[in-house]
Amino acid sequence: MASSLSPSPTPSSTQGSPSVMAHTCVQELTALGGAVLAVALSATHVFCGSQQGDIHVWRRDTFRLETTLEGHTGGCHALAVMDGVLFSGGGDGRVRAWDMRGLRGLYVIHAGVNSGAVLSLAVVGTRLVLGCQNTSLQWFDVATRDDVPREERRRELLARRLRFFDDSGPIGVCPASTPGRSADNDEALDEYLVAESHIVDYAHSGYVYSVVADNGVVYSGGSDGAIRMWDAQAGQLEAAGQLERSAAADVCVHSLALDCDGLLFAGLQSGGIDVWDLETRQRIRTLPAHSANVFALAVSHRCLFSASADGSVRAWDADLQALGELRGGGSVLAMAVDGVLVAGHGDGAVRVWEVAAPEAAAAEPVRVDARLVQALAQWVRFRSVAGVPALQPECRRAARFLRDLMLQLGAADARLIAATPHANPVVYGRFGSGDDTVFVYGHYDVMPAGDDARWASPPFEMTGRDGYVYGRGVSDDKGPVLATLFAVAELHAAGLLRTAVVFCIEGEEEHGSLGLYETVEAHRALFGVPRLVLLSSSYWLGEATPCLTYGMRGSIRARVRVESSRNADVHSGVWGGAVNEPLTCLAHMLAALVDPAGRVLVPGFHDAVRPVSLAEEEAMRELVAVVAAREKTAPVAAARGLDRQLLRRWRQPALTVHHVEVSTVAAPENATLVPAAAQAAVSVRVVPDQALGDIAAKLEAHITHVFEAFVAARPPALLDDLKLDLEVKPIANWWLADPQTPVYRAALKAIAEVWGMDAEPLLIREGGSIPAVPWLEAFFAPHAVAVNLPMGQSSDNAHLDNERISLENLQRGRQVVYQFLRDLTLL
Amino acid sequence: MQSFNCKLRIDLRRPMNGDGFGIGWYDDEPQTPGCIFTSTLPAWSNLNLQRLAEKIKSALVFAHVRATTGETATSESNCHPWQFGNLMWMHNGNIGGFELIKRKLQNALSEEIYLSIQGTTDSEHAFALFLNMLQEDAPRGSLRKRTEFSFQELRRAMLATIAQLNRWLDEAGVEETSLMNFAVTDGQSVVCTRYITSYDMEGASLYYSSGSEFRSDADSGQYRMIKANKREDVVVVASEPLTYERSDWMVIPTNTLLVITPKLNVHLYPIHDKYWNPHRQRAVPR
Repeated sequence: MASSLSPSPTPSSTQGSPSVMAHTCVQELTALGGAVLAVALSATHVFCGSQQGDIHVWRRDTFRLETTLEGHTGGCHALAVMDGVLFSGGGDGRVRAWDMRGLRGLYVIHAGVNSGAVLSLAVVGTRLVLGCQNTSLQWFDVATRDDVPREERRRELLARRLRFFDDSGPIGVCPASTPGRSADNDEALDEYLVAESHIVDYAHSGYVYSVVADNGVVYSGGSDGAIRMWDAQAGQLEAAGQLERSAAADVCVHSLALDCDGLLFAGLQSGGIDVWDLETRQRIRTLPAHSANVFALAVSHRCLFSASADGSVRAWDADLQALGELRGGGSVLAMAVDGVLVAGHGDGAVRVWEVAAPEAAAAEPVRVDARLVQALAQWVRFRSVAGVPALQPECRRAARFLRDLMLQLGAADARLIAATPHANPVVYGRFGSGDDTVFVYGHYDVMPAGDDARWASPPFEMTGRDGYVYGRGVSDDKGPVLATLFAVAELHAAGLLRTAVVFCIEGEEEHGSLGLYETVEAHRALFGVPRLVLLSSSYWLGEATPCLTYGMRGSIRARVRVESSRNADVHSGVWGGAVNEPLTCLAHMLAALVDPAGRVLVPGFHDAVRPVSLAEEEAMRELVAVVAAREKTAPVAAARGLDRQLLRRWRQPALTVHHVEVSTVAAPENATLVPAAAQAAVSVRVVPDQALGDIAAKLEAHITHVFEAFVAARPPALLDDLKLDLEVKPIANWWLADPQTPVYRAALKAIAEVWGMDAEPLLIREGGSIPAVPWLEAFFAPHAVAVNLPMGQSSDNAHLDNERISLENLQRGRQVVYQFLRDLTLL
Repeated sequence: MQSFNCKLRIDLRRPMNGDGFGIGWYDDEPQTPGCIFTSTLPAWSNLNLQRLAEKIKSALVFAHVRATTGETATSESNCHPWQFGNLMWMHNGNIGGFELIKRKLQNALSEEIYLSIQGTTDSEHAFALFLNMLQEDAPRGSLRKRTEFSFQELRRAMLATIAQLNRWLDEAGVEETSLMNFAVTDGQSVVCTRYITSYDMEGASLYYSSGSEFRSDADSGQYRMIKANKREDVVVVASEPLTYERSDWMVIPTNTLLVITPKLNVHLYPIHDKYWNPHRQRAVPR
């Protein structure tokens, strides 16, 4: 497999003009509880302390909100990590300990009396150092926390009453305005107190905004502008001097960071960053870094990152040369860097950036999911809308991108093939050798973006938000195609492919699959003998339940046009009654297509519809029960009579009149003209066992018959004649697979395992049609079975604005394909 | 609320501060004197106060409700705050045995400062002494014309004032304790003290709260201090908490000096003299 998909983004640390730091905002997470005051990272999660006191926990791979840790009654100002335990410092004067794996509260530490907010935290061995609002530094040894018996701790807590808040005055005590979050309901957790002997009062003359520790030395910075050093070796915090800043300056120290080179960085209220040499205790530089408060500093990969109220995050290399800046959103209050850079903003947003630092560990393997998302972001940039001449080159570029990607990922063969002029080429790729194949079908063309203004982010710039990536084509069908491709490439690289896999990714799916059949026919030999036609071009029924699609309706389109032999509009006052009216005729015909109950009036239309068996009804009821239990969000969960509704959508044929147009020179609001022509677009969805040709013929005959009867009934004295122009086009046959076959069992098993389901995934059908599926199945008969593995959720907005796919669905979709193909025995 | 229902008055017989009030504030014009409105009516019954409070906007407000001490008159000239040039001063507490040192204090003052005294209170005389200390610290022309002071200057003068008062009180053999919660501002910086001439007693109460915004909650109407970042944009210092949000209010420890700098950094300094007792701080604060 190729080591990297993108050109190396590593900037050189050449002197002189600052090079631009490579950066991509991979995900933006929406505000949940006011400003984000603190950020921490584990290997698996992002932790964000909010102004409201809650800690929001997102998964790092899918950016799904995993949980919210509640407990603080004031803002969560600081986070620190010690041995898998996360500590949070609160505006309520408490530090809470959380299990970072189990994501639950462990215990609570009360800072000393009247400490105010715990504004900063640092870890020294097993000790936690607290920087407090009341200018004190305090420490707490986690290892010996149970030395003081619980009863004694309780007694001391009870003794901490404040006369103003706890004693009744002349008119009694008013309740605080935040009931239900009483500060005193921590009974479920063990409570500890910082011992009085572990408090350094007036450690500063101001709020202790920042503490960091290294090698047993604690450094603290405060609103008094001082940076003090404390020796933590001997078990106490002994004052060990101070880094002299000008006492006259009214500039507070918001943030501190240490590098491994003996430098201490101090982020200042003024926007500058002081750089101190700890050996000589000299300030060697002040970087004019920002235009406002430097709220957070971090050192990673020998780079310094600074976050500021001016809304930017800037980076500096080991030689203190500026590397560039990240911008997006308002003031940055908190930051953590570990592989990614997570910035917490004043408006509550959290942005996750990919940062490529110089001298970054290039050897670190990039996870396959990250590469998948990266490739998708690049592929989405091609505006591959089929059928628009101006975008034809874009389609071709999108096709070539995919071909190159296939080759990079180890394809034995990859090329563009075409058999029809003007149509976008098919991207063909092959992994493995042999005659028997798995045939992967998909498409790289996308729907037009529609009104850009309706999109929250540019449709052709993939944007990550709240666990989803947004962009045209991410769900239909570029995302699923890439997920499948990466799964196959991974299997291939691991030597786990049992059969060859051929890809047939067309560029005209949204445009009637123009030229697809000709191309496949012309290049039949390339595809071998497909045993399985695999595609992922449908959606879950809801949001939370993995599904497998085993049936789709077919479709017929018709254009019905009625024209008068007069070729111009006439005035209805002058001519009305003496001319034929095409629109009246058309209305009459349309009215004869469907009755008010929705039953199609075409004679013989329903004859071949397979009766709904008892078993089917039962299966539908079961499905509804599962959906009701798992789906919490509208519209699926809310729908009443969902079983009957789904039967109508999946199992019954339907006829739709899409639109009616008139050919008239008049403005739409002109209600005095008789138009010269009128036309309607009609479609029919067909189901088993309606024969496509038969239904098309019956529809044509019925419409013609109604038209002729209308004309025959008109008075003979009219001045003109009517002509019917009817076009009926069978588009797609219905498709129905047998979910009991081994292939389907294997697919269901893979889905259930990857998603960790104890029940079977939902077997669903779809009301829509994909012409290629029944066609390919028929073309490669008798061996081929088609499986449509939906990856996206019902809210993915395919074909609409703000199309999206959840990262979790994309990643698990890849795993499903991987497991399915790994375990599948086709022969 | 402190005018008619104060909870932390040391003199518990009367939970009232009804002997007048005063409001001082600075407008948008930088480095110009503030404005003061005083009245001998109780604050709760002054309609003008309510009307002014509705309309006046200021980045720095001093407010005081008075309960007379030491037999001084209930008159407008005895209402806090007082001003001198750009400076404004007020006091919560009383200087015990003040009559025994009043003459000494007046004699020590420069002519300009002596002549500026309008009323009869210990509080106003303490202000005069503070001005004198400030003048001595940096004798650069008329104090009245100076438009700004560094917070360090104000802090030094405040500490010198307390030290001088203590010296005179000791010389006069006063045994009564004094409560010296002073507040002074030049419109840019604020210096406050919570101070008592006692080794073990708590001083008159003083609280502070800081954050990004002091805002009333949309649902409950109660005010809360919003802390939306590591920067203070609002600082409130008050003898009693203005709300019942426990975590919004911090006790200023007894015998501590608090500074609000022009950039709204809050500093706290212990006042190290013979009354300094670090262990008092650990006692349950009142």
